[in-house]
Amino acid sequence: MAFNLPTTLSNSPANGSQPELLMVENLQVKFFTHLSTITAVDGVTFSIRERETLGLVGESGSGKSVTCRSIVRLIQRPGKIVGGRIIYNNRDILSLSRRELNNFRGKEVSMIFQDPMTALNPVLRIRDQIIETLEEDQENSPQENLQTAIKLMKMVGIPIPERRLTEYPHQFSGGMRQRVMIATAISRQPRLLLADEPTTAVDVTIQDQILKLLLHLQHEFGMSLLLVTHDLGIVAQTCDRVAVMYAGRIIEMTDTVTLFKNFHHPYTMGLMNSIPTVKATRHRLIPIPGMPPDMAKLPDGCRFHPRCQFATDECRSGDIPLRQVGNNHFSACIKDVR
Amino acid sequence: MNVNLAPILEVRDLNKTFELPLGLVPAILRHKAEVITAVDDVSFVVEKGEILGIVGESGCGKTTLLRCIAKLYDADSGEILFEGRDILKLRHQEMRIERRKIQVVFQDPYSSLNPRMTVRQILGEILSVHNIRPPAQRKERMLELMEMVGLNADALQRMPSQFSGGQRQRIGIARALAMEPSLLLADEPVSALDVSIQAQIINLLMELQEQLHLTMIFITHDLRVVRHVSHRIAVMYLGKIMEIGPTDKIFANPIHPYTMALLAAAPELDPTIRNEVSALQGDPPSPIHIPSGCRFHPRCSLAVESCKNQVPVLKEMEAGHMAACPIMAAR
Repeated sequence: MAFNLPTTLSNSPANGSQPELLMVENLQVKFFTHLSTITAVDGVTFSIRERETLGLVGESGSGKSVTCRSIVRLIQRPGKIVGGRIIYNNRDILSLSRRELNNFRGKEVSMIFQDPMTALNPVLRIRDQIIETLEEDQENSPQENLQTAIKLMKMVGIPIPERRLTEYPHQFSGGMRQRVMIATAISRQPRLLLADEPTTAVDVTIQDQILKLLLHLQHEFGMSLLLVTHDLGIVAQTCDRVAVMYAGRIIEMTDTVTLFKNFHHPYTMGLMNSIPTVKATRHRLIPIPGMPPDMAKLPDGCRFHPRCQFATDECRSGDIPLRQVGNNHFSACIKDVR
Repeated sequence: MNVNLAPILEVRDLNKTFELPLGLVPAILRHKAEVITAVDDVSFVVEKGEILGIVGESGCGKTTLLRCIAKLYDADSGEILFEGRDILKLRHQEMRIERRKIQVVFQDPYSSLNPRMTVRQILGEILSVHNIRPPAQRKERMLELMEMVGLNADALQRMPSQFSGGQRQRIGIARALAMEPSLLLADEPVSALDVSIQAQIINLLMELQEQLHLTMIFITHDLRVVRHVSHRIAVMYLGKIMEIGPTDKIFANPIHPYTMALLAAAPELDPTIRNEVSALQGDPPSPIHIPSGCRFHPRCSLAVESCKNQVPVLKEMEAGHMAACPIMAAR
């Protein structure tokens, strides 16, 4: 099958009426080291609808990348997915065989990584790296594959694709490398693209270009997008819905506008207050006191309670699950913050 | 706050280039080494008590500029007048005394502290080498420094590896303050930290700046942070300052097309305002082959023929607000 541009452009924003493409249920990922066992992801449940962009935000160590990688089963020892289900299109990913998994990755779900320099092979020409993915579909002739590669390079905005395909990753700038990675990731037209901090390693003007490219491709191909980021600005600009993670759990999940206008969880509030805004200059920021917990020694009860100004005895003892606090708005906090 | 005193720092026509190492064959053939122009004829003034933010993308020369001011690099040419004296002309002994007054907080709190020394040793070394306090008072001074940066006294006994990133940056700040500097150079001091910790460090730096009447140059690529922290902002692109002025004016009324693009590229925190089009096309050019004329012209939407051969100079457009764009100046 040669690579064809979809003829219809779909610009419909994701909404509740779209069917669910991926469901993650009660995902639990542990890392077993000789010193301790760390539960990096602890009972995470969410879903991604067709054509939707879901943002997964959190600080370092919150488990957002591990969650993302679990979807394509890229968790390596000492890490292990120990519980939960990942349902893609009525199939449980966690029970796929190695061969089924190979066909699933890239074809159904594809991923782009934070650092394009380490994600691309430094000793292979760009052409060979893109074509390697295309060769997974064995019906194509080498000539077709080359044409497809050129098309892909054009699609992600790389000028003079015929020449650049013969070059090596070190001959590309950071932004261009990220474009190459995106070209590789979309080469088999996946229905879900996972992007793990895709712009953290590039400058702000390049970040702007890459994000807009991703959104454009998403609309064009009708893909769903899971965007892992630590930057709430990126979330505001790209995502339809957001899940905020803290210490291995989702603590708030809702649509983007509600999250910014009407957040519920004190941690989300803390994040919002920590960011300097463009409106007021030189005021005092309100930081979240303390620091994120040591994942090997998690506090009892709500994991955020030691840093929370609203914490009560109930927060310190019992587990606080996600509960519905509004229309499609979930928060793991018992207190009504607002 | 008083910013009307004589400038504490004046940089004039500063240049810094780096020669790329030649391979063996080109060296034998006596090829000329390629040269990276990191800082190109940069001039600016920092008033006493102000925070000057320098923004720009990677490779724009902001860190090199800062390192030249700290004399961690030797500038090729130009003058750096610190409290009226050109520090580029100072002899070693004199510089040692001046260096006390100019201190740097580095970006990476993990690699800028010696992993084999306790905090007490790190701070103690500075106090004794520079003979800042009589030995009997040093312990007291260390405790004072710990309190200033919001760490407990028992932190002195610990090694850098026993601290989190935010705490390490506090130690980095304490180390800079131990020298009792009048000019603090902060090179991306919060870029390696998570947002919730970032806010703590930003607040700390701003509090200390006010309490100790420090002058500060604050380098960052984060426009939100720079707007929050600085009184004035300089925007750099490929080794040159494109625009410099009071923070409010730069944000409310950016003049240089590069500044406008930079501001537009920063993701807005409001999900109801979304831009469909990228602010700026293309990659920044290589600092080895800097474009002729205005170095921004290949990416500039306003560029005309004359931009390709005339190097623009900074011109005052309104009080204290200068930009290097003849096209915008003519408007």
